[in-house]
Amino acid sequence: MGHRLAMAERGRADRKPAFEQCVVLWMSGGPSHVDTFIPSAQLAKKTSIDDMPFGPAMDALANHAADLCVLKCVGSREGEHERATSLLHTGFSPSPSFPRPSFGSMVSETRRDDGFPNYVTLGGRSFGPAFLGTQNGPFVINDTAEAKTQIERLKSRNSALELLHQLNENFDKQSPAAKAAAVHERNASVESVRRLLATDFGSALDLDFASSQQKQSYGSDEFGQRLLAARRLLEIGVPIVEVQLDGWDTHVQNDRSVKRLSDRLVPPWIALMKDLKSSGDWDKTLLVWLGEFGRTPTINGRGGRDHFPEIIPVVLAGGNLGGHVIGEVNDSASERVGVRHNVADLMATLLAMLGLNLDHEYTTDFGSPTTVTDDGTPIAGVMQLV
Amino acid sequence: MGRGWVQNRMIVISTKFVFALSLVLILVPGISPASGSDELSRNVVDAILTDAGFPISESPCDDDVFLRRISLDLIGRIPSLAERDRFLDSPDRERLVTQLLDHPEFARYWSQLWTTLMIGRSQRREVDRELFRSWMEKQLSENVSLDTVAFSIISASGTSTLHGPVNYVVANRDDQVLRLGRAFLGVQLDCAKCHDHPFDRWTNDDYRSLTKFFQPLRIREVAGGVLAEDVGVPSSVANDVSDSEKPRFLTGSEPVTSAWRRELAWMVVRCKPFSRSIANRVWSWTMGEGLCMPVDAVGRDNQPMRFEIVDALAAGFRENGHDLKWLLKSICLSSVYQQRVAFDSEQTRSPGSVPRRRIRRLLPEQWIASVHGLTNREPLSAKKLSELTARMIGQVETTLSSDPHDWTPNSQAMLRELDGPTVRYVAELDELFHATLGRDPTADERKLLSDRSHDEVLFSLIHCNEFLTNR
Repeated sequence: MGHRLAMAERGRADRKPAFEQCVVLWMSGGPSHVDTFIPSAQLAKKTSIDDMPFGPAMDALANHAADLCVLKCVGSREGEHERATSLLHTGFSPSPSFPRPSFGSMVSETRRDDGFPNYVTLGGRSFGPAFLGTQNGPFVINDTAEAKTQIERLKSRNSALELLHQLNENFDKQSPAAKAAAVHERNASVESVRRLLATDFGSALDLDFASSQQKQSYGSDEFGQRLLAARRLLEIGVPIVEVQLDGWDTHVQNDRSVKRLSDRLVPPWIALMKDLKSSGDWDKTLLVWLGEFGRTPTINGRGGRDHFPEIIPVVLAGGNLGGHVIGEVNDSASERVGVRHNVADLMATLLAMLGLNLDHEYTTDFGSPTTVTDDGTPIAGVMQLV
Repeated sequence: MGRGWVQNRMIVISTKFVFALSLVLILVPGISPASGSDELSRNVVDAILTDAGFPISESPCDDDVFLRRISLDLIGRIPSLAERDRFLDSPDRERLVTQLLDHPEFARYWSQLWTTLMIGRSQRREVDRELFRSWMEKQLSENVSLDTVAFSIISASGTSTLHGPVNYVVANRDDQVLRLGRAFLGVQLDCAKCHDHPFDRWTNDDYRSLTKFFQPLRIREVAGGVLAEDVGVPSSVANDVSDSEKPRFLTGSEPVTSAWRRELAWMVVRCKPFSRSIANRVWSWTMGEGLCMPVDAVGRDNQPMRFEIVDALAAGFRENGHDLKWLLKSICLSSVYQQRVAFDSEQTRSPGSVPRRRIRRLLPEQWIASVHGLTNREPLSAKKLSELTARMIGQVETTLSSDPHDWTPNSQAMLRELDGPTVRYVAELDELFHATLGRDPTADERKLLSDRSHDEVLFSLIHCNEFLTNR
């Protein structure tokens, strides 16, 4: 699986990426940081790394601390779901008059087009490409089984598709001169589907092809299945996959909900990490676990925790990142006392690790140039590990 | 009263005259009311274009092309075989346009277009899109004047699940001013939102003065929906009116009562930019692109000749009581709408170029309705059509322009389109071609398709470039 980077082909001076591929585990709703990876002194549980305690919900990961890099330094001011989610996906505060491309779209744009989508989202919410064009938009799969069936059905219509292609060619021949834009676009769209059908994308989504051992270790829960599909997509070369797990907005009965979510989250996560190591992909795949904000360290009147954007829990994995903590919080986990970074810095870090040139300027479709990040600089503590 | 009124009168007289004349000249082919050389029978749009110095095209398209074009533009689907036969038997274009404007599917299709413009395409939890759309359909079928409709929308109050138009207010809660500017006034205030641009007419101050109209607006969730209402102007502002506190419209007008949003709605529908933006929008939805582009930036500055045309058309529109059907009839019976367009016509555009019809891809609503009509006599219900469209498009982000034609399908949408259920229509090749493309198959096509199954032939016909283009 060589480099699929388009940069050199297009003459762009992007740097050599520390990681070729990326899996984003998006915890929708805002995961409580004190229960997961940034515990208060009171809730801290020891792990296999000395200065790296986890929260009570992450017991199952205690022995895998050496694989993970916890960032305790990221925070923002956006406490509302839509805005914060947009911020974490694009690196910019959302503005209706200036749509920004999502992280996945930015990565997709730097990768070569091999016929299948470069950015796949397994889940319901998607974040678009803005001015980077629909080909860099996310391919959203809500239900892997349905998507697989769709592609298979289309493959079985192969001879009809071939006939369609011939009919179109015939039609195009009648008017060999420059064609109307609408016809051009249409041809390109149909062509992109034909190319997609010729790739392994459909069979990557067919989880029946996975080994029985894999199926067992990822489990039968929806999130586990999504993670297995993500693994297979990485295998055929999709450079960035986002897998979503919803339900972290625990304003009520925090402990019970977080426990339930962790039970779904952790076993397939461990399976994925083991899988990547055994196939030799550990050094080239970046794993990012995060949500739109953390939650209040003090329990509210309904046994829940409320939004707390001051601390956004982020965990990275892959290559040599594991076993480190960047940043520090106070005993009650209510304030960042060590180095502090905003989301633009986080975005700069992730993009830099995936090989993007942070000085590059995009040209929007309304003509003005714009930067890749909102004036962010990569987090030094992370960059020195790669 | 002005030229518009006189021309209107002339058209009424002239159509009666020409109808009588055509009865006499029934044996002479080629004469149709729309392309008479008689001065009196000139269409409003033709007159405006001639006055602006653009030559009138004298080569109208064929009848079957016209029928397909006008059916797609007015009722959102291709004509059925029966409709086709009926029209080709006696190709009276003016009668056809009148019939289509009174067709129930006209109101239904155009309600979809307006709804997408006002609210966007995506289904959102707090917005009852279908309620808005069905309210809009009712306004269109009763031919309520568009200034009345716009007034109802901009000043709407009430609960989203009970009152259709208030869903516009709820859907645009993040920024009422930007949508107001683009959808109703033909001004893009996006940049002015944050700063003053040296070359833009509208400043940050203008933007902020407009937002103040919405200060009393409160939107909150209630049992069963979302309630939007004006809860009164803070007394400190109502009485002690320092200029910096009071809202100010782009014309400089300020409200005199405390019903600021209603006054804003009134100011909007009374001003000329309103009728210009509607005229430009309706032109773009029938001719393929607006006279002024972008369609929601109707300004004089960089396209003065085109602007004059929009201005004249808007004047006629105003003089005819903001009647959408008048506007549509004027456009669709004009020579420029009826002109022949070749598939390979390069669609370049410069500020001084002749306004022409632009080829476009079918909207998903049009494609779905057309395919459905191949095997069903009854049209799809509006709700079902919305559902199928949403499913085909997938989740789509609301763009600032929110024009229904502002949509490029990604590979997923293509997959869904190609993966649709098999359409079963067993007939001779010629009939399949007539039903889908409105023409006979060429010799090459006959050879290519003669020994293929009906299913495959129909599949390739309904997905081919020609079927999917509206020319």
